[in-house]
Amino acid sequence: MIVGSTDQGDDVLSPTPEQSPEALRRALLALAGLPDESPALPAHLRTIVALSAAVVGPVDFASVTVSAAEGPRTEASSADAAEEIDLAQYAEDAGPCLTALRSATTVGVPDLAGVVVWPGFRDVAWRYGVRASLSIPLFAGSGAPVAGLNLYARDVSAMRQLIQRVESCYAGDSASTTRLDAGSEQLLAGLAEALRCRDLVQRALGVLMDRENVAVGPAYRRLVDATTSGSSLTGTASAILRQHLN
Amino acid sequence: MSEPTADPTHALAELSRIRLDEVSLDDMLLRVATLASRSVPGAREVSVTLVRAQLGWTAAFTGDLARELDEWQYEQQRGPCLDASASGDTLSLPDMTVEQRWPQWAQRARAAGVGSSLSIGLPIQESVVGALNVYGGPANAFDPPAVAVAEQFAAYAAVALANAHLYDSAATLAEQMQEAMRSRAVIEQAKGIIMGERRCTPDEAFALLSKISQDTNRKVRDVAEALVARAAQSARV
Repeated sequence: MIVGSTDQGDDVLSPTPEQSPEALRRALLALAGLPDESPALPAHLRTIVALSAAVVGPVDFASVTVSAAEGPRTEASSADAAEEIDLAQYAEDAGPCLTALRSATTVGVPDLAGVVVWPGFRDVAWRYGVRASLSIPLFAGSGAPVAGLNLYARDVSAMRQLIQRVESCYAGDSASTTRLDAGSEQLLAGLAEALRCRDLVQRALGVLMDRENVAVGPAYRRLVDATTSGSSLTGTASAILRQHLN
Repeated sequence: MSEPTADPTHALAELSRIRLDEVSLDDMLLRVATLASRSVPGAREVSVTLVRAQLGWTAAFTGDLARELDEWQYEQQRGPCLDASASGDTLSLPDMTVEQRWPQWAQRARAAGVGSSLSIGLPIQESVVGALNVYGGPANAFDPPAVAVAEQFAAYAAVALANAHLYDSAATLAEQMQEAMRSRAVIEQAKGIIMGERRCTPDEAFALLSKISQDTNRKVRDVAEALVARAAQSARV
């Protein structure tokens, strides 16, 4: 028997229209607790793209790539340029956004001039004045990547620091002495909290696998089924872990 | 493009003075192609082919003739510049009128006024490979000394490409970061399984994982994967 939860998460699951750095952190955290198949997922991705472009200092354009049956596509973009750069990557079936989505790792390009392995991406990005980029895998409740967030920048030096910080964050190293702009810090805080959320859900899945003698896939289904529609999976996962310790 | 006029020694010295961290790969390859076209005896036009995942493109060229002859090969997925890229060998086509290995392409080259060509594979072992292509007007345009000069230019293109790879790999992210991210979910699942079995905290579960890892001389990730696989296996029984 899985204990459901409605005690947290409801408020953070609605995309926030306000254009504040804090809203970006909340949107990233909310995504981590959302079931992968939630109908609210596209709206969350759109919010994250809009906020990333609006509040993260070095970023000029942003977009988000998702996998679809017919191939990768851009779910949302803050500017036509971002979508064009994504399309160049889909056309070659290669580029940082696809690598990030498929490998579930961040892919930073601190200086586009040095790129050799993705000529389509490089040439189109260059045409739009982009000189650096960062693609970040985003996770929803199951822990598998649901999207790749693409951040495109004209300013190489500002983007370099953001790339280093995000890569460190995804490598599990959050210690940093460099302080970035408020938007970048909220992006980093949101990504770090989302990863911790993912850890918590994965631990709860492990408990379910052991307790109910099921593999990880069915364990995830049970977690989703035990969560009230519109609530965060994180709440249910916390309840499972609390229940287990009592 | 006129026949070569530059001294190869001077041209190679000029290349050696270029700092690879100060020019883009495309600029460097264009300089290699341009200097080679001026210095390799018999050269009319020169290009550089790059190939990734069996897709070829011309990264630098000194004239449309070279680019078009390259692109036909990419479209047809066959030709000396692709084969030289794949093997790293120097492929010489001394006479297009009798060329048997790539007859259709040779016919096309001949029609474009190219009687002979060289494709020199760039000797690197990376996900992107390439070739320096030298096109000559008459048949037998390249004698052995000319081939040797062309190979020296190809070496510069290879160094530029290898350097760009180093830069690319430094630019993207370290393998250990990818490893950390890949391991993270499975380690948390394993911690949950141990927590379920032993009714312990996440920290205690991780301490046990680490101890098993040390005792058995296996990575924590491998221990975690084995635990998760065991749970999945027992679920099927």
